[in-house]
Order: sequence, then C-alpha cells, then structure tokens
Amino acid sequence: MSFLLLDANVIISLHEFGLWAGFVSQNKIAICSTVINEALHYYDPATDSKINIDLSPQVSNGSIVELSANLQDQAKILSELQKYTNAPIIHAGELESLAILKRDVEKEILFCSCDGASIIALAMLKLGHKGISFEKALKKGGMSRKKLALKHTEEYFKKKITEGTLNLI
Amino acid sequence: MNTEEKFQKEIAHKLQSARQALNLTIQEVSSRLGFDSYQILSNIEKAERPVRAHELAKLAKIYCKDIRYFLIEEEDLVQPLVVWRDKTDNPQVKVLENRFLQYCTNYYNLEQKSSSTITSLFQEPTIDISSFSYPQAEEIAFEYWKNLQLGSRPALTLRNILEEKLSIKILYLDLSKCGSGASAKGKFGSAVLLNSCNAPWRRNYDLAHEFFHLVTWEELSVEKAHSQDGSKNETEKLANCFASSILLPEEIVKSEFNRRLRNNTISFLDIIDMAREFGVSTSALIFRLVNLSCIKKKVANKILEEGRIETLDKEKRLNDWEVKSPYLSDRYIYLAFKCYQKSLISKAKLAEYLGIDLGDTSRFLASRGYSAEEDLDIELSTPRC
Repeated sequence: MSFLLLDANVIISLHEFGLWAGFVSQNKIAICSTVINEALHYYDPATDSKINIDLSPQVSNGSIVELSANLQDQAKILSELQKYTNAPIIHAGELESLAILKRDVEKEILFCSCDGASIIALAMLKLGHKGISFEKALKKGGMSRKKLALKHTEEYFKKKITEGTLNLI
Repeated sequence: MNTEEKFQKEIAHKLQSARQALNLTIQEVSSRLGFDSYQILSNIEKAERPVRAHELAKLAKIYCKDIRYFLIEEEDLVQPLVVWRDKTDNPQVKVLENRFLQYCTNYYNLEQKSSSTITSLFQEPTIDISSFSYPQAEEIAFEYWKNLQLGSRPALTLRNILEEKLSIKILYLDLSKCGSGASAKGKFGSAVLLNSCNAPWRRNYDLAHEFFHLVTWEELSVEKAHSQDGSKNETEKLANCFASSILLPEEIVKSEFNRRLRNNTISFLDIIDMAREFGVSTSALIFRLVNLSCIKKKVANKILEEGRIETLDKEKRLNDWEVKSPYLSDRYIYLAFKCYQKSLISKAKLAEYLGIDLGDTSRFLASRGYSAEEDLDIELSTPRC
C-alpha cells in the first residue's frame, strides 16, 4: 500500500467531514514536518465552533509518519519552478511535500491535494503520476462522500494536472 | 567547504542578518519558536546546526520574509528606504517596516501573477525643482486633482484612485507608538503606510501628505530631506500644503462655503458638517478657509484656541469612526482572491498573504463577498468594444 502524503487542505477537509480517524485507520498516512508543526484548525459544521487539529498523538503512536525534506531539496524545487513565469506560488508546507516526493520518487508515496496551485506545481515538476485526488484517496480507503465540492473531485484534479502539463510548453 | 555546507552557511547568515535588522534578540526569537534553549538558535545562526524545514517556515514568518528569500534569493544588500513622518525611537519601527515592505512585495507578486500591473496613461506634472514653493505645491495638487478626476469630494475617492490608476500600494497598521505614516519606493513601485488607529479624516490627510512625498521623491530628494532637520521641516510643510489643496480644491470649497453663508455668518455646525463632507478634520478645513481668504486668520485662531468647536466636532463625529480598523486594501484582497481562483497561488499562500490562518481563509473571503469554493474560472470571449 502506498503512503498518502497529505497537504494541509486535505487534513482540514477530512476533519470537517468527520472522516479523519477513519481515513487514518484505512491508509498509510504521511505528513511533512512543516504541516505537522503548523497550528491548523477547522470549524465544526454542526456547531460552528473552532477546533484545533493536534496531530502529535498520532505521530507519537505511529499512525502518522512525519517526513522531512532538507532545504537544498526545497531550493531545487523552487529553482525548477522559477524557470517558468506561469508557475504558481506555493506555501512552505506544499514546497516541502513536493521536495519529499521528488527526492523519494522511487518510493510508493502519493501526494494527496485539493489545492489547484499545488496540483499544477506537481504537474510542472513532472510528478503528476505521483498525485492523487481527494475523491480517489477516499475511495482507496473504502470511503465515500455523497456531495463533494469541486476542488475535492477527480475531475478537478485531472483538470489541474493538464493545466500544469500545458504550462511546461 | 562542500556545496551543502556553503548553502547552510548562507542560510545561517541570512537568518542572523534578518533577526538583527529587526533588533530582535536571540532569546526573544527562541522563545517564539518554542526552543528550550536560546543556544539552539545561536547554533543555527553559526551554521553549527542545520535549520529544519519547519523551523525555517516559522522564522520566515517572524522576520516577515518569504521563504524564497532564504532558499534562493540574493540577500537584500539594499533594502528600500521607508521614509517616516514623526518617526519615534520605538523598537517596533523596524518590525513594522518589514511588515510593510513584505506587504508591498506580496502586492507586487499578485499584480505580476495576475497580469494586473497598471501602466498609467496619465501625464504627470513637471516639477520645477529650482523654485519649489507653496504656490507650486498648490499648483501640482490642482493638476493631480484634475487629471486623476478626484471629483468634488477628493477624500472619498483618493485612496481607490491612487491604487487603481497609479498602482500605489496602501497598507494600514497600528502605528500608535511609531509614527503617523510612511512612504516607500522600490521594485514594487510606490507605497504608503497609514495609521489604522487614526480618525478616518486624519488618515485621508495623511494619505494626501504621503502622496506628495511619492510625487516629489526624486525631485526633492526625499531621503536627503528626511535626514536633515531643516529641509525636512520645509518639505513637511510643503506636503501639508499639497494635502490641503488636493483634498480641498479651491473653487469647490469656496462655492460650498458661500452656499452655507447666511448674512455673512457661518455656524460652527456648518463648518463641522463641511469638514465631514470633505472628509478632513475641522481644523484642516479652517486653515484652508484662512488660506483661501474665506475667514480671517485672527478669527480662525480664536475659534481654535477657544476649544468649543473642537468639543462640538468630537461629539458630532463620534459615529464617523468605523467599527473595524482598516488593514489590507480592497484591491489587494481582490488580486489575492483572483490569483487563488486561477490557481496562481495556493490557498495556504493566500492565507499567508492575508495574514490569517489557513482554517480562516474561507470565512475571511466570505466576509468580503468572495466564495472560496465557487469555480469562478469562467471566461467570456469577446472582441474589444
């Protein structure tokens, strides 16, 4: 089974849908160190209350693996993207995730994202085959959700991969 | 030294320079990072211990620098000069300057990414530096008022027009203990920093004042003027004259003043109401009326010294203060959202540009009338009209 390297937006969405615990139990989950150490939160749709996301217990018990990329690997990613004026601007957490993917390209890791810019960057680094949509990742773990927002769908993911690939021309 | 060691050393040096530029101590920054000992940060800055990815992300945030600066960009040998008005010695000044310059850089990035850079078609007035004087400041103010089409109440339109037509970047921060305003010019263009805690009419005036500095940046050698007290005072007076003239155009003010006259008298309430309409302070209006010979200087001084008009002004304009202080400009937020919608920046980067947490992005955008979830990437093909 491949590791799913999750970006911060996916983590937040899974919590909002109440699917986090189940998703973690059904998959091998990896998260980059920048996102693990970031103070994430979401709003409970039922009560509208702000809830902090604490990943440290799951990292401690091994159900989530923390991965890191060194700064030189990240610098290489930025330099590669910088060659193209149409490359998107991404955050430190996304940058580290992409650097991990590039470094460990032979390993079974798939980057799960529902962010358009991140997916485009993935394609521009010629790593489109190492990505997976939120919708597909849910199905992979035997889960589903009736009404997904556009950004969570396989259709959206493919569209952004195509955009990223075209950006290279 | 191998490549990796050299790379680590460069980052270490940049981190130390960034901290020192803000007059922050190792202890302060270590505490904010959650380090058990300040020695860790000290070792990082000496390149004795490599900085980790998540630590660099946090340090970049503390130092108001994009992570790109540490990883691939050339070190800032010459930071754009930020020219302050009434600057104090408060250590927060450097931190605010960094935040301001980071905002300017982000704004510039958004313009570049969304192809929204403005090429002004407006012919800027020629300034004759050899004879720069108060009448010339008034004349230039009139030219700008006319060419920018600021209208009969310039304070209401100035901010938007400066952003939309001249691409001047405007940011509001709490400058309470640091100064009343600042301006800067750099690769990002021109920018103004205003005090969010000031009254709206005071901010309008400050904006016009800073606009003068931007307009005369080269001609009056703003940087030089701000380093020499004598010429600084003179430049500030010229800026005040310009601000007054652009916000209170002569013919319009005279016409409005005459309209309110009853048997050669005008009430305090009318003066306050007029100031409110023009979006300036009552005292600024009174000085302008003196300048336009609408009222005598002696009378104006007496009114202001008595203090009654000031008391009435505070009572009548209490509700004119906004509930929430301004911060980012509407244009900046629009460009940030546009870039996000077009997948030119990630949502996490959008949050960073807005100065908020990722989990709050959708709510923030919703409060401004934008939906983070809608697919607005719908385009219309149409020929030029």
